[in-house]
Amino acid sequence: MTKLIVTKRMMERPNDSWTLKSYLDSGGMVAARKALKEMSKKDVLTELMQSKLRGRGGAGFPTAKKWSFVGKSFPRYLCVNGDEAEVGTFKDRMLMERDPFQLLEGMIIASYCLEVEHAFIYCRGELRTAYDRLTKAVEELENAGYLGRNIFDTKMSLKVTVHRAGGAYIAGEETALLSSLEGYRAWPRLKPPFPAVEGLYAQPTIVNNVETISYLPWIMENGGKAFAAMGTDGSAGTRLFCLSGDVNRPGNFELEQGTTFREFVDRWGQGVRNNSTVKAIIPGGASAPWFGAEALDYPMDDDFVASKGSMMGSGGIMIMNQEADIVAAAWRLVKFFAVESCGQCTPCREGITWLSDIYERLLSGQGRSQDIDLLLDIGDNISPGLKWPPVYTTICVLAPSAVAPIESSIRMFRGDYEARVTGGPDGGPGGTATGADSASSGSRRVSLTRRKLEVRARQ
Amino acid sequence: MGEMGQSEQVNEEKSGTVKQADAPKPPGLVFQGKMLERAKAKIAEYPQSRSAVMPLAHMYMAAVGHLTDTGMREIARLLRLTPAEVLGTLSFYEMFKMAPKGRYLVSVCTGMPCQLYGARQLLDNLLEHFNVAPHEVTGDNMLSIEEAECQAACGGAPCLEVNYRHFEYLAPDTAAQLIEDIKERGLDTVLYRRGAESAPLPPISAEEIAEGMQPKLLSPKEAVARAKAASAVPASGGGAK
Amino acid sequence: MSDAPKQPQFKTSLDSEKGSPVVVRRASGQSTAVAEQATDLVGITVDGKQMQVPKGELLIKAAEDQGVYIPRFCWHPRLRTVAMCRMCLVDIEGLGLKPACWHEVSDGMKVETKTPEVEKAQEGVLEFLLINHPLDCPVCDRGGECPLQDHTMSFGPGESRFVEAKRHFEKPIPVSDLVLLDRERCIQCARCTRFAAEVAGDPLLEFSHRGNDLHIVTYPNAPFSSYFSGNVVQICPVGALTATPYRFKARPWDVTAAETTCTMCSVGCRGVLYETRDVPIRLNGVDTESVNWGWLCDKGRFGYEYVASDERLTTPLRQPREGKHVAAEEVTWAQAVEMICAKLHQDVKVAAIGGARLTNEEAYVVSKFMRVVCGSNDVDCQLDDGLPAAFVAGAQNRATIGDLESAAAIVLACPDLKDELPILYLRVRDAADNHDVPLLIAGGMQSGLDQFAKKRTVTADVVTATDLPTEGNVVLIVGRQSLTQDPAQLCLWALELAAQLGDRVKLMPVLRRSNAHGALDMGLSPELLPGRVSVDDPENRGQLAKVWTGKVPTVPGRDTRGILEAAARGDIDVLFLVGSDPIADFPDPDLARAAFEKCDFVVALDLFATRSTDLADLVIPCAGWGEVDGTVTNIEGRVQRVVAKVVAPGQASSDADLFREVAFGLGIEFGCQSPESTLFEISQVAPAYNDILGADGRFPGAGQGTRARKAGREGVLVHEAQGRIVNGLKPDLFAAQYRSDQTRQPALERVSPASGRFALQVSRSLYDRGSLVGHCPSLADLRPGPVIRIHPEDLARRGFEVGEIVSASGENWEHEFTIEARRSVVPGTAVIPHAQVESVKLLPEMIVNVKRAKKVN
Ligand SMILES: Cc1cc2nc3c(=O)[nH]c(=O)nc-3n(C[C@H](O)[C@H](O)[C@H](O)COP(=O)(O)O)c2cc1C
Ligand code: SF4
Ligand code: FES
Repeated sequence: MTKLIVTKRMMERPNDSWTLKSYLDSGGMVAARKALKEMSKKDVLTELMQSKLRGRGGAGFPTAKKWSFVGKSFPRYLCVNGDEAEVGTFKDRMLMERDPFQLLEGMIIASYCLEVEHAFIYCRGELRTAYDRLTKAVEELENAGYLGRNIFDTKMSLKVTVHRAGGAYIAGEETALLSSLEGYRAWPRLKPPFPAVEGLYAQPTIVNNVETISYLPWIMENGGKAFAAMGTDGSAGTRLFCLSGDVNRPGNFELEQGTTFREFVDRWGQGVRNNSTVKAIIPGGASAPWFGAEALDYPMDDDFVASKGSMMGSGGIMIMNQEADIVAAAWRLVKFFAVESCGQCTPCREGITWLSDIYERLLSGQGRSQDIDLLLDIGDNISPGLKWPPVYTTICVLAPSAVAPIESSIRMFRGDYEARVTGGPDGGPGGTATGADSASSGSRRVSLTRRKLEVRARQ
Repeated sequence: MGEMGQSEQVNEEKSGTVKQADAPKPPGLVFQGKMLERAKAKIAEYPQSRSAVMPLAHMYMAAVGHLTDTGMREIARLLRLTPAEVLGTLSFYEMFKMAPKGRYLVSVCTGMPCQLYGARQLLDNLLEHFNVAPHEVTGDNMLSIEEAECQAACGGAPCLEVNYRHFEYLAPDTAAQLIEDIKERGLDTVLYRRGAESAPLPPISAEEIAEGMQPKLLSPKEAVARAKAASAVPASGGGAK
Repeated sequence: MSDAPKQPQFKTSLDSEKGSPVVVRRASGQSTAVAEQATDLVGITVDGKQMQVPKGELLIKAAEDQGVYIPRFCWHPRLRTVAMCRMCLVDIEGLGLKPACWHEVSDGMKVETKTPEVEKAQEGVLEFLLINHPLDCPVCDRGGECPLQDHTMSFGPGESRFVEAKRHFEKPIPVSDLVLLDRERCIQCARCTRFAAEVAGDPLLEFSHRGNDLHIVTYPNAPFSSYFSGNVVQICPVGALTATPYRFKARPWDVTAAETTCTMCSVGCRGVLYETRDVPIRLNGVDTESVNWGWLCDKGRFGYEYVASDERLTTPLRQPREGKHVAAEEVTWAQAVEMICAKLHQDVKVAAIGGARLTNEEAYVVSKFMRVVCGSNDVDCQLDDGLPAAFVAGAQNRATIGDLESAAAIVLACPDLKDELPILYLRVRDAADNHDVPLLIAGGMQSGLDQFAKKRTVTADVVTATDLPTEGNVVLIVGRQSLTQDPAQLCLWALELAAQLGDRVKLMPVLRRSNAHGALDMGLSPELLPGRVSVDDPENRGQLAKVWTGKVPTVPGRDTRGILEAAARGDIDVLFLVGSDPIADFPDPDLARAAFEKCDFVVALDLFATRSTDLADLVIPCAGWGEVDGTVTNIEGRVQRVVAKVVAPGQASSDADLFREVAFGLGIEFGCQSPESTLFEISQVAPAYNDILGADGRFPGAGQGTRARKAGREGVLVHEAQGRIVNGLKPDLFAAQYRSDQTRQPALERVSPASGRFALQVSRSLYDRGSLVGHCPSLADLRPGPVIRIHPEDLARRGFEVGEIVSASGENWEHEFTIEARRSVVPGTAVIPHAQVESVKLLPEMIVNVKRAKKVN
């Protein structure tokens, strides 16, 4: 029995899995028809409940539970979160490009259950191919009568709008996504109220990840129990894990949840690059605290990884081998959060850039001995206690996420940091930085300055 | 959607004749005729018109290349916003360029996984090869090169996008040739880009697929049980320190 | 409009046509509205202290009201919460560190505001805010009164660990004519952007970019030219936004301040007037629940400038007619008094025009002087540009500004409030936007309120009770939309509508001039005596008779038009112009000129030389706002204090001083020795004002105790039930008394834009040609000048172009104007801002002919 669910079609039909013909030929729309014609809304929710499906966008919230919170008023909206921008994550893009109809079928099912008549796909702007294919797919479904009025001759009507975004990681945060979809800056909103009660245009709204929704056709067709039979108790079913970094075969792999990191890296990733060994593992996207090599025997299971002080997050697993420049890697992640902060909360807006500036000083050979503790203390001001899951004092969780790589990498690899401290304790001019790419980080500073200049010039 | 086609056409007319010094003149009214109809249709797609601000900006950029002052005023008028609201909203996002850019916008991902594969070097090589600073336009108006954040292609690192089409599995020393080829033959004809068409599919063998990617070493449930047993930390929450 | 511009995270309004609900979170003013239903209290514990606080209130406010101050930068009681600065983090039991500005109190809530964790978080936030702050405090206007400085002192870290490069921006850039922005000092609290978008409805200030690059911008060539721009300076918690008129003028420790009331219009906003070296240098809004919520319009905020103008009149001037008034001769105050006394012999006929600029006490003195000393009812504080006095003063069931938000509907049959009564505009806007009160706009130009209108008509008189909700109070705002509008007809319509609605109507007659409502209450009207008493009302005259000696005529006198006509016939001997300029403001300047010519003696009391003082025989320099103590009465009938903070220049003195001294010179026992004693007398004789004073007989707010303090800040509402126009306001009686010019066919029916015939509308703009604005250097240039505003379609129809000079003419006048295209103008009409040119004779329902001006080359 094959265990592929969301990637089955694209694996079997690598050349045309995104066409309507191919889709219908390979069992497409059977599940939607079944749901709309044979199942009540409650049945759909029950199946979903039994599947124990958890959201794949990062927070891992049980999907059925989220749906059950939906507010009573109408209109209601469904927003599919296709803003994939978390570093190390590249699964939603693949699902949107290679199997857009599967996502749309999932949306039909979800909209039926949630009584939604207008659903949106918030598609990251840079993912051009995905946007083009989704747009085309929606058009084709409309023409074929799968979208629009009286779908499958039922009373249900559904309009799907594919919204091309403009490039901002924070827009992936669900309330920021709603602000952005409403035509504002992608600023996360204060909670409560949660989107399920007061979301898009202040109406009840469900936001789900692309991958989450893509599982729905299979679950409706095969039953929630079949899904729950796979994986572990807490993390049921399969999951699309993204493997990147220092492995021989990076890529997306749909595996049962609970597979160990070791199997993932050795078998599916075909081992660590350059005959090296694992130095660090980031288990769930840029926001997740790092693990060391000891984590290879951990199962890729939400609850277990959480118990170890990190998270499976978006399922983006990044591997660093012994050659990796830990400080430069941590800096690049911090820099990512600095650039992508929305700018509302003071600690996030001011603090992360400060952290990133300190890293740049370290990398360019201007590090002071107090800088390492300074990094930690600034981190503590952003994410009090440096805990995971974080105690966060900001509107959204981006700010403490930026601290996760700092805290975990210093905790595990303080020596790598100390090797960067070349200046005197008061930060006198130091020697040249040791480490692999100090030259390029020098030129990096140039381009950073230029970028700043450019940003200002845009005003 | 034909947007990119249009953009290339518009820029085609300008290229060669226009130097960077006298940058392309902003066009007159862009949202008129067919474009206006499309814009109105776009606005009508949303329950509230303001939602169309980004889609209209994309449309405008496809036609003109970048967002001009008059462009933002046009969008503001269509959506009944003030120009300041349009500027304030669009400047938040990365893709809305308010300065002219080359016909090909090369966005080099330097995200962490790409950095592990030498993306920094790749970017520097490109800038050097084409002798251009980030966000500036080459003398022939063909290229702009920018540093970008993660492009959801980490499995194909290092990668870049040209006019938002992915090119993956590059190497610091091959990227320049790729761009030269695109300059010469156009974006649609350059095919050496694994995954440019779509996401990278790891070369998984037929046997592997047939096996259904099932775990071999340990079943998931067993893995969890063993890991829990091996671990001193109770499985409920708590920090790792 | 469906997409009213506003920040999404706090409020999203849905398409009103689609009938979807509008969800409001924490609208401005809401917190206090909650406070008023004091019945619902919950118990919370803050730092171990138990307190009872209103349910649903924000923690930050509830704690502050109970004496626990939680530091904050972005939160402002009149703006929606954004919780961006993160300065107000407190430890809420069960939730951890959370912003007090977002969480509402709930029963049993336990909060710590001073634990080590909270303090570390606060220090952290301050350190973050300071790393990019320039610390140029010594040259910063805010230095010394800066929340960032103060918070750093109380809650901040002792040192900064920041050694990287600070963010740099070009130093101050203008965002409007009056406001400068220093982006380096900005701490991104979003107060200014929220004010612009939510409160003023002018979303012209916006954040640009994101993250560390977040900064405030205006769109190039689209400045923040809001009438309310100065407010952002006041609410900016640092010195990022500064006002050009105040910049570098003073240090906070060199100024003294006093609370007063703005008199640039009749809304009566409360403010604090700052002075240094006897020169007023700033007016900041004071948050009063009843009126202005802390906001001021720019005219009010920067209007203090005229007080210290070099062009103030400082000496009485005798202006001999032989010298065509040009060869003015300075005289002493005593000589001036003597000259007037000499004219006021036994059977001289005396009239007075004006008085809306005065305080209640001054107006009372003028009123009493005219009645008791001159035996004349020929007094009028309006210049045929307002509403019938009986309608204004006699309206029962007057609306307060606070009634707006709870109304079932608001009918606006009034001029563009933004231009005439700006803060009332904000309150109406708030009612519509945040409380969903339906607006019915009856006539006039389109304004910022049109986007909220449930219905709009071209003229007022077509609105009837069937257009209105069948339940709840309806606020009816009535004022002259154009000087060519027949006021009697407008009032008649309003009275009929009011009669249909019965008890549910709340009337708000609006006159714009500063204390016009107070002056009417003091009897500066041919038909009213102090306290809203008809001159022919024997019952209420009784009270007056106890104090007033002499024969007070029992028949109504003449209004301004009547006075001027009489004077032109030679029927008036002595004419007092009490701070009025009929040549500029009266709709028929030629009649005014003829009247002055025929009068034996014209005395003009004013602050500045005007076109009318130029023609007077004697000019008296007066003290004005900021220089005299007293009270004023606003559009609601709210009596509030104005205070003397600086000394009037030269011999300038209160108008009351002159009249009192003349009476003394004539040997008449007059009383009213001081403003306070005058107010005491007013409270004795004027029924509506009986309640104004406390038992101690002092100014509202002057005494001790809560009532006094509240009266000091919120003023005291006139007790309308006690002053009554007995016969005034029955529609039929009113109609009999006020003939409306029904003979004229409505102008709109006679227009023909294609041939240049337009219905003329003359409306006021905020920055008018009045002498006060003209002497405020910062505001004078903002006046529109001689322009004529026409709908763009009409322009096209006639073939005019924007910016073209045209010549417009009516009966006996012709002037040149620059054309402006305005979508807000009703097609078929041409709008000229009032008093921007001389000698425009205005008639009800008049037509103006507009044609291309002869090319002068
Ligand atoms: C800073 C930030 C960025 C996020 N980016 C994404 C994203 O790119 N895609 C996504 O699906 N979810 C993202 N999320 C998670 C969403 O907020 C949300 O939890 C998710 O879309 C819910 O879908 P799910 O329940 O199906 O997982 C992000 C969250 C945060 C805090
Ligand atoms: S934590 Fe950062 S990204 Fe999140 S809302 Fe605050 S400023 Fe924006
Ligand atoms: S005052 Fe609460 S976050 Fe600014």
